[in-house]
Amino acid sequence: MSLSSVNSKKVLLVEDAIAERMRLRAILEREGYQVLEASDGESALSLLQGQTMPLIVSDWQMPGMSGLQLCRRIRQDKAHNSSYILILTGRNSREDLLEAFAAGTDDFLPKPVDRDELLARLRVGRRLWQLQADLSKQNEQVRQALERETQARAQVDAELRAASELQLELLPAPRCDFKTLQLVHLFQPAAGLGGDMLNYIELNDNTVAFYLLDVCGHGVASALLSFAIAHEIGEMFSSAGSADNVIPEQVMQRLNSRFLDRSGNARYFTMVLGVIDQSSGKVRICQAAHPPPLLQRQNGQVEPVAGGGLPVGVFERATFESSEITLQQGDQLIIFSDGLTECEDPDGTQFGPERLSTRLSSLRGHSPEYVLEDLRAALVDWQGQDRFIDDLSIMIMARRVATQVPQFEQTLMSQPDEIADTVDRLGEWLSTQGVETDLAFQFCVCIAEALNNIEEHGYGEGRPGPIALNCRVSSDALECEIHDQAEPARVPDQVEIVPGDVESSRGWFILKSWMDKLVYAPAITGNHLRLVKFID
Amino acid sequence: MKLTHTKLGDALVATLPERLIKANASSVRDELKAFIDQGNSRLVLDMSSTEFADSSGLSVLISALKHAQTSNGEVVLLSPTRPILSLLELTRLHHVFQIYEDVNVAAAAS
Repeated sequence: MSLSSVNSKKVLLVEDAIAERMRLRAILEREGYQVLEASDGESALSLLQGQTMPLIVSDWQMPGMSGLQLCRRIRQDKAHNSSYILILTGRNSREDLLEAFAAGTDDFLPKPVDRDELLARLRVGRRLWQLQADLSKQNEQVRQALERETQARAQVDAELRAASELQLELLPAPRCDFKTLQLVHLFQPAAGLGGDMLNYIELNDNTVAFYLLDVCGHGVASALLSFAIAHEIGEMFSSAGSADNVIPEQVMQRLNSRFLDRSGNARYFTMVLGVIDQSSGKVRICQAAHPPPLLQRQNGQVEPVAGGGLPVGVFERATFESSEITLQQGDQLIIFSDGLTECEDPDGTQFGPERLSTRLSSLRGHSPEYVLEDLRAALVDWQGQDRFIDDLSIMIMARRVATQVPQFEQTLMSQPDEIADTVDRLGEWLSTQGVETDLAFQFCVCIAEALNNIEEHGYGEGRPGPIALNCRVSSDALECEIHDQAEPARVPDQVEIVPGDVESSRGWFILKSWMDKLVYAPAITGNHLRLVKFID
Repeated sequence: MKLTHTKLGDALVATLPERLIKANASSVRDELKAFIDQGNSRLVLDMSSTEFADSSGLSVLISALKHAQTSNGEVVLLSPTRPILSLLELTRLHHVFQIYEDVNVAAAAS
């Protein structure tokens, strides 16, 4: 019950002497008090049962329970914490007073009781009661408001999480292999939900369209716009009829009209959109105020893609132009949002395009996954933390070398039987490649261990997520790249083997002993493990 | 999976499958345990046709040994192939298991 709803002029009078009780009662009732009476402590307590009593006036000396004992009993019950207790007594020694206060008494009145003094003390009691009542009412209001806020906040959080899952679902697979192309991407929204969006779409078996866009700002509004744009682009592509009708600058033009900002909120986006012919490697690419993509040539040279343009959605009469480049075999095209180059170190220095170019030059000859992982690690290093402050997205498109080293590729579900079959086939394939038996055995055991580890610790029981396996044999090494989309798997740094132990990290020990190189890169978009065994 | 097995003196000789891996580890483990529980605590594991094993496979060998030893038994390995032997050596299990090339000697030792 709320204190404020109780009449503060309600008083319980506990006095064993009938005459005195009647006198006090008369005084109080004349002043408008509602009086309840008890002749001893026990009946006072049963009267109090279940009701809130603002004021209690009790004699000290009574047969049975004394006034102080009653006081202690009353205070034991939290419900009567706020009651104002006034003890009537003939005693006035220092020790008596201290004892009474310790029992929970609020005040004293000497006997015989003076009418005016009694009423004055009770006024004090009522004032205290009223203050407490007001305070508890305010407290309750604050508590309710806080609860409403917390609930609202939890709901907003849940909705944001759902939206960010939806956004991740709109993304393409972290790695896609087309006829001559391999595409990988990294998508890392700053606050769970971002204003970046990217995709690569096979328009026909020879043509792939790709885009990466960045809506200004981040958070919900930007994300909503990015959803709408992605949807619109999807519609345009599917209604184009033929891949030849997908002309990047025209798509950009239409997006500009469609998303022209008339609200004056300056809501616009920057974008790179292109179409690539897989057989020739010709790319038609249109840029709209976006950081220029970088072209990493096979020889390690890095050059920005020429061209530029206005942002999309700002100027009604904006026109867009495309440029043409050719992606030779072994070249990679790196498209990214400004979250990459504008990533700041703790002193506020940006990572910048030069550092990016230099880094890319040094990554010559590496797979797109490797480059992607290296860039991510470099940025984490640069800013000194894992969490990105701005939305970050990177897309890398590599044109495979035609005279390829032999490859064994397999996508499997994380289940012991499939792992066994895959390792079996890999063993057979290695022998057709002329790999020596012992070496092939060691390589296969290691791959089995890596896959088992993902099955066990990455996906866990009953979650058979996909694993992509790619093995290559060259003249000097056996190489394997494994991708999974599981939780980052457990990778012990130090593995020690206890010979008779059943459950030691024997698998990782075997891996580390028999492989010459082990690179493990956990990422939001999946984990990447690269194993290399050199051939002497 | 049913393991081929024969009795040789006091010992039971069981032939392990071509592949001793995660996919069949638990069924092989259960079968070996059943042998031991039926009173065959002296086991010879014939590994001559086992061409491939992973760490889950190795753990089957170890749990059989631990189980046999609780009934005062022993588990020995017979004729592991060269790659399997290299795996046993790498994981130091050749210090834990007695390894034989002759089935009679193995049966007597188990």
